[in-house]
Amino acid sequence: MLRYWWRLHISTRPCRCEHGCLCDCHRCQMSGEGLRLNQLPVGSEARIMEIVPHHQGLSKLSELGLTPGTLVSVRKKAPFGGPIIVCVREVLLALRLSEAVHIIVSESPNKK
Amino acid sequence: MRESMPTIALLGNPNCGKTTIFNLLTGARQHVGNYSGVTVDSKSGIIRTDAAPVKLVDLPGIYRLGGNAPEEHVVTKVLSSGKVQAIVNVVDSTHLDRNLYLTLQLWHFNLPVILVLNMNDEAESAGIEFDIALMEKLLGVRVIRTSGNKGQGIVALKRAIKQVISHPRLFPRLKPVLYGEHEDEAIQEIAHLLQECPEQDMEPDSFIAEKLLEGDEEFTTRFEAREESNQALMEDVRQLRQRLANDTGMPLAVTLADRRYGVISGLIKAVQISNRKTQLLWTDRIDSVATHRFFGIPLFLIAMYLVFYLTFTVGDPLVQMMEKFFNLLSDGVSYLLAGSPMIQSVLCDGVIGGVGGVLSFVPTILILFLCLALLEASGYMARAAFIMDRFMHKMGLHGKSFIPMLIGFGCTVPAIMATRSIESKSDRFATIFILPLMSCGARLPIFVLFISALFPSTMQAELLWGLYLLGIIIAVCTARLLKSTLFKGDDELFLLELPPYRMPSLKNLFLLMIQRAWMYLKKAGTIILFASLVLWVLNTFPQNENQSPSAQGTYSELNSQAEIPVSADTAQLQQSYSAQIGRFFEPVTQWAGMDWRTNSALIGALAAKEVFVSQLGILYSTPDVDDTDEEGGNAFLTQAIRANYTPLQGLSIMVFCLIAMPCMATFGIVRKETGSWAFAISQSLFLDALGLIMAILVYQFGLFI
Repeated sequence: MLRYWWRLHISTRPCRCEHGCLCDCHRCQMSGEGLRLNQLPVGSEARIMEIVPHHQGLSKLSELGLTPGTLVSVRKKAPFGGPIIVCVREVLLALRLSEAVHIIVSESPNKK
Repeated sequence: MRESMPTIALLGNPNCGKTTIFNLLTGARQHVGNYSGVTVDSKSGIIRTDAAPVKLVDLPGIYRLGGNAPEEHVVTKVLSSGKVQAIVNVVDSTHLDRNLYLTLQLWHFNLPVILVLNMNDEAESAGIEFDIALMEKLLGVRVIRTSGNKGQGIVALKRAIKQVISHPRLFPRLKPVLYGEHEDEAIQEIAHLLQECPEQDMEPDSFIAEKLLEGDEEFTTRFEAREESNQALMEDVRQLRQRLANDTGMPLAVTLADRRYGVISGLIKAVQISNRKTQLLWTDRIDSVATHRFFGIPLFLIAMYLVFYLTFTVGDPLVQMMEKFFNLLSDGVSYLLAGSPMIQSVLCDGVIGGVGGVLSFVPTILILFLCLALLEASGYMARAAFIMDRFMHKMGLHGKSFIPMLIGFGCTVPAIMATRSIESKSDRFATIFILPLMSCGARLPIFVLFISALFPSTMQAELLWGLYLLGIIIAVCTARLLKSTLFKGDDELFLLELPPYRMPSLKNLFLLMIQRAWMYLKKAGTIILFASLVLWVLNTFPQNENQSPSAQGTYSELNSQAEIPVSADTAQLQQSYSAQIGRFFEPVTQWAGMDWRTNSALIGALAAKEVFVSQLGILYSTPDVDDTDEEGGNAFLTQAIRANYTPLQGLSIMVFCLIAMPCMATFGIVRKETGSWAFAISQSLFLDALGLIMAILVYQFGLFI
């Protein structure tokens, strides 16, 4: 009951999953296979394999240069699950974990 | 004459130095910043070539065309309007692959394009060279290299602009992008069908075709809403999308973006002769501290504290100098006009007292704006958005809300205008709602007045800092409440480009500072002068006429209750309209420790927050203006406040000023930006109520202790 009330009135981002999480969690969003961009440690480099079509806005990711086949490196992670900074095409981009979770990567930068 | 002037559009990504180029070309003074989305309005200026003058329209900085952001709509609209003869596309030559994405989308408009490779100096020092001739051939554009910071290449650019205006037909046209056989066929097919449509759209057919193929929401809904003639078209589009997506196994929007980047990287391989050194070295070094996991937030808070410490400590002696000047001026004028007391009164008390009181805070405002401009132009502002996003997100706002909030410390009006960079409506409205809680520069005079009068100098800076912090905390709670009730909505993407750190050009900083100070002064010169005169009338009239209660309309009842005056001067003030209004509210506001003087000063503050100080000044100095020969104006006001208010009252008054009563200009801009009277009015009422409650809480709690 309390949980329901919280999700309805207090939480600004109620999780859409069936677990009844209190907030939008990344665990629930990772329904598919593969390594996700948000799982990479700071300093690692990877190649983007796929961008999971989650909602309309995500096409902006690819238009900003995050297209399949490009290399990304994780530069920074903000504390408390804040956004991360990635370097794509020599540009620094900040994005939230909830967005990074939709980007499937493979951590073998040398293989295409 | 003006109508026939040829028009050129200036276009480019954010942070590519477009605004600097604009300033160099037109000589116009305009905001130059390093944060994505500073220029939201499209501005224009005149280029003086040795032939005819050319109108240059500065379009907002965007990464791509046809998205949902308002900036992108503006650009598409201007380019499709048919009023533009050519496009000057500024790109950052150190990030060509990202910047050329927008360039590739320009072919739809079939206009001559001048491609400006800006930041040439940075590219050179990074060891990047270009084969310009090959680039011109491959793209079908004219390429000019410039270094905006050093003003290099502007002459060549002006020459190219002159050419494109005088011989537009001889100018090369941008070549269409080839996405691949199937995709191109599909685009052509849809474009062909579009030509047969009865309703013609403003945008070019090929552009719409691409958008429909990508499954762009806006265009799809636009076409689906139309009559049956379009149903065949939409059915066709759906089939083509399905087939092409099956071919590649990716959504078509991703495929097209991928292909565009493919074209770009092919182009760059061909034209770029690079022996690249790591050019992000310095940015990396600074970022390793500035966006550090643990140091980031404290560093940011320290930076903010420094800004306000600088403003307060360095600005103070300058403020005192200004005050002295205006006191001398007032004395001089009153000496000259000793013969006519009425004019003397209106000039000394109304004009010089009011505007002078405001002008004397110009040094403070200059320093504050300079600091904010420095943060913005150096590139730290975007890092601040990154650092604060977690926090802002928790309160239901966006990392981008933080920059308007920061600008809000300068003035709420430009801050509300800056919220345009937030794409989602609910985030934007929530941000606008709480922006007046960011203590603006105009409230600073009020705080400075009370703090310096009532509190020991050791705790002045801390107290000011605390007040700003209180505003932020209340804003957080309000925003949180709003996002979970009224403005419930989907989160927008948080995608922020972090520009490399740049040494801001002193000239640009200085221009920005002057520009902002000038905006403040213009406000002081017009609104505040007007308000000061109105207030002078409110304070001076009705003249001593105890026998005419009916003439005073709604206040007649109050007038009869007024105390019996002791002397003529005091009587005049106590009977004035403003005092009557102040007294009317006194029963309520006394719970917050505010007497009728502060109440009537608050009425003046409605016009502009700064007026509070001048109003209080008039209220206290008017009756005794003859007695204070040596120290008038603010020095006298400081004494008067010390004599009439306790520190606790001062605190409660400051809290009320912090929260309640956004000024008229804020109200107007909120109405304009949200397009809703209801929003603006309910915001004002909410803030007033909240301010009163908070002030009462502070005062009663303080008394209790």
